[in-house]
Amino acid sequence: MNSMEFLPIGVLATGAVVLLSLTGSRRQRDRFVTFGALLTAVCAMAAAAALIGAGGGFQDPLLAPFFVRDVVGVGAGVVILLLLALVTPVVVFDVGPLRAASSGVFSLLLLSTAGALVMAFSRNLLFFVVGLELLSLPLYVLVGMGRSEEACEEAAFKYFLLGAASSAVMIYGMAILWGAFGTLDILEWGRLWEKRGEAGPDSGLAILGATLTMSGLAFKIGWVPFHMWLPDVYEGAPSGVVAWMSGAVKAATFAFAYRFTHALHGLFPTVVGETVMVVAAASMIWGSLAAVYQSNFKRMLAYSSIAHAGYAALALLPSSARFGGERALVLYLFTYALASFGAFVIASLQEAEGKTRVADLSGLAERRPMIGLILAVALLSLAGIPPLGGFVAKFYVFLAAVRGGHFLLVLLGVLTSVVSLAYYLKVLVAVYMQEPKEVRPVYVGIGRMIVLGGGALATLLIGIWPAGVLDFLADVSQKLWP
Amino acid sequence: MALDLLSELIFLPAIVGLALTAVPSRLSRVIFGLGILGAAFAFGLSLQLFALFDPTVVGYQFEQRLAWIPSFGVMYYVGIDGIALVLLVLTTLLSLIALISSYGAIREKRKEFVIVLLFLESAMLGTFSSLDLFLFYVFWEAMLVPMYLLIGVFGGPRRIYATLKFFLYTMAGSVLMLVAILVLYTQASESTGTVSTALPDLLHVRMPFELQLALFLAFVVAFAIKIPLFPLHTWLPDAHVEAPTAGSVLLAGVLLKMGGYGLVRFAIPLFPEAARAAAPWIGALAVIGIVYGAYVALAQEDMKKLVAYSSVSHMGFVALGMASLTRIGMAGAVFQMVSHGLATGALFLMVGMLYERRHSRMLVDFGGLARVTPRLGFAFFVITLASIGLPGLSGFIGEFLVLNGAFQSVVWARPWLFVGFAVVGVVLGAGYMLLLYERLFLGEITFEENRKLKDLSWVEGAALALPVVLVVWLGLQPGLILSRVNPAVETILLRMNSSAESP
Repeated sequence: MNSMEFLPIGVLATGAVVLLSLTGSRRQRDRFVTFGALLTAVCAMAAAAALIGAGGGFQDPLLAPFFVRDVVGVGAGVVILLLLALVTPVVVFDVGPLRAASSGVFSLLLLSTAGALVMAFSRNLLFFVVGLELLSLPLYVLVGMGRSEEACEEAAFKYFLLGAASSAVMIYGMAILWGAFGTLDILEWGRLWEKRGEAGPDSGLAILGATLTMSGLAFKIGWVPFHMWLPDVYEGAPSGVVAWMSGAVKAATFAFAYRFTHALHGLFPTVVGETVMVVAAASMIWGSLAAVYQSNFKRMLAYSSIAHAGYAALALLPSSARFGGERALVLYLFTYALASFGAFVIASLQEAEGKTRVADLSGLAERRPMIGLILAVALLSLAGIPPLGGFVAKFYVFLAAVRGGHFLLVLLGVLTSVVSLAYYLKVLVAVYMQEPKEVRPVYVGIGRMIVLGGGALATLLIGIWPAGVLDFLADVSQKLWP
Repeated sequence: MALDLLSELIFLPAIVGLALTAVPSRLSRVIFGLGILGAAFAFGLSLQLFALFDPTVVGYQFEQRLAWIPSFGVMYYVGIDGIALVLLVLTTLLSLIALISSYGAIREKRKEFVIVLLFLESAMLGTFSSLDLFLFYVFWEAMLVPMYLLIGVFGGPRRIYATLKFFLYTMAGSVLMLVAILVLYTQASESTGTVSTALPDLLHVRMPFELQLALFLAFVVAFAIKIPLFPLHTWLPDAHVEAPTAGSVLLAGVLLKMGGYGLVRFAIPLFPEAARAAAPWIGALAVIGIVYGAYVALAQEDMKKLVAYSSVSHMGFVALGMASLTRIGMAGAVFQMVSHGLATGALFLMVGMLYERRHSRMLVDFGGLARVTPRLGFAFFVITLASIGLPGLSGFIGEFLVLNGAFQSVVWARPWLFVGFAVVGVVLGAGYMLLLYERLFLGEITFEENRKLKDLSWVEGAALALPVVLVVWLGLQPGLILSRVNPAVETILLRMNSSAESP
């Protein structure tokens, strides 16, 4: 049964290849693609659920040295697969260029998901890079499939160029790390480190390599000062793709970053914590302040996602780990993914009308009361207003950080939350308190309505009854280390 | 999962609101009717609580605990003492009145209005009943969104500015409280090992004085913004002027009370030494607020602004009474909260009625109305006198007890100074209230269109009747409230003193 452990990723890859090789008339293909994509997503989820249910770590001798199943990994995997299932109907019912090339789009999406899963579970730098490229290459293409040619070409070009550069830097860093330790397995470092001085690792090399690698992770996550690409890419890329990538890329990278920082923490106890603190503070401040000045809805959400990367970084702090930092991180990623998915899908509705500004959302609540409500739930959850999921996640993250002794960082976190509220409320002012510029209702479509409603409902449920999710996480960690 | 009477009361309005979402919006009369019915039922439940409440029992009553987030030690834990009890009754009463009075005033988005108001009522009731800090914070924040919508959607011309200011101001205070809750929780888990956010578990956490003071101040900033304590009051006039009548009634009548309630329920009992040290400062700000609010109110030409600044002045008495840390002063502060809630709620209601008739809130547009609208004039007169603090009406009892408490207090060195300035505020208060009444109702009728104004309709009369009767009743029989509030205040002070004696 051990070879079953690769099943979720295998299912995704197979699905991708099959979808790409479909032939026939456009209409037949469309139907197949829709069905096939949903089937693949569901099968991958079922396989993953079976694996989580079975418990334990990776046992296959082929996989065990390269992959590890821990709480962040499992949590990120759930987020990634859930987002795939949510985004499928959005792409299927999209009216823009995404739909025109749906078989290609879906196989790219499935490949990207497979890459994200590899990243989320890897303990080996080489496998992480393989996963990262498998995630990124399809995304470079997907980002370029937007409606407005100029903006999306800029986005795709920027993403590709900067992404390639950051990958190169990161791989260089990993090569140095390999030079320092003689192994790419990050969980082995702690054991090797004790032998430094004699024949063991060189600490100067290790620091250099770790710094370069961290910068690559920071790029993918969108931490300041490696965030420059993010607003441009989110703005230019098709919103359906952003709805997926904003949550999934973060989840996959954060899972590995958690493992990576904790492996390094054993080596350099103070430096790692301080670096994460600086990055978290800078991201919270810059993301929140810059978002206030955006008039483009997606750019605003992009800066808010930078701020959220900063909040989630608090859970990454080594000293938070003792107080549930791991689970707090998962909960945060989960609620962020849900809320940002909703907001970006609504941005895609707006995009279909050729509108991009926050002011164009005016009167949305009158044109489509349900969509207005869903957007309100998503944004208030991002802002951390109870009783929504975003509040519980923020509470958990802040609690772990305060108990870890980072009182001032949490104070900064709550103050930037108040700043962030200013721009979330600006959107809600447009949605609820301004007259609509057109009377015609927004086109939504049944598929998007279902996933949007489901996401909003889940956000509310997590807020009212967080014990459900937390029990699940506790259950997972129990099964992993019985 | 059986809910107790108290939980039924908390969630009843929200459940009614949720059910109303299913009713199509063209049936707005039905929706309003059902909403009023729900609010009336909630009022009835709160009266039932009042009747069943046993004033002789020490501690909380109608307690209910349910596990909520076991891994944080968070419980759904509600319960009330005498202080919460009277505020619950005030909340349900004013919510009912706010709904009734809006029946004619709100013409668009009527369904949304009723639903938002009912959700707000649930959040307010929850805030007064929570005995778990996490739960309290959730309800406290949950009040913001309905109020934000109430001002922003149904308000006046500058409603968006006002509602954003209200939301951000309040939020800035409450996140500081959130951090303080997190730190307190951490301290408790480190010193005693209990992982809990329940109020009784956090009451005797040992911590250094400096930390206690910092946490106390974080709580106080959150509550001071709500009270509002000078100089954190600047959001209030904007919010009041732009809010619809129902919003103003609930804002002045209930939301401002959250601040005073938070002080007596959480800030003072949790950090007794810090409270004692900071009391003179809070008292001083309260006195400044009393005089300043009254002085500014004297100069207002806009009725709503005038009443708003009078709230700053009257709520200063609440803060002064709380800061005196005496039984009589704190009980007086609670009494003043109820009295102010009734009187100012009724004042905003009547200002709203005048605005409906005349579409102006400027004092110069009125005059001599007593002849045209005698019933409104009478109600306004009673409320004016109650607000001034005429003996025999409710305002007198509250102010008298607070001044008495401030005079007896040992937390500040020169009690006569505090009392002296506060009395100046009382005199100024009589000035602006009588001036307001004179300019509205007395003298010659200066504008022709004022001759045709209608007197109170029966709906408006019904909405006003209870507050008018109650300010008289409570003025004559203050024991109705004090007999329930006194034991609760005594319990709090007793616990404070015992913790001071056994360090």
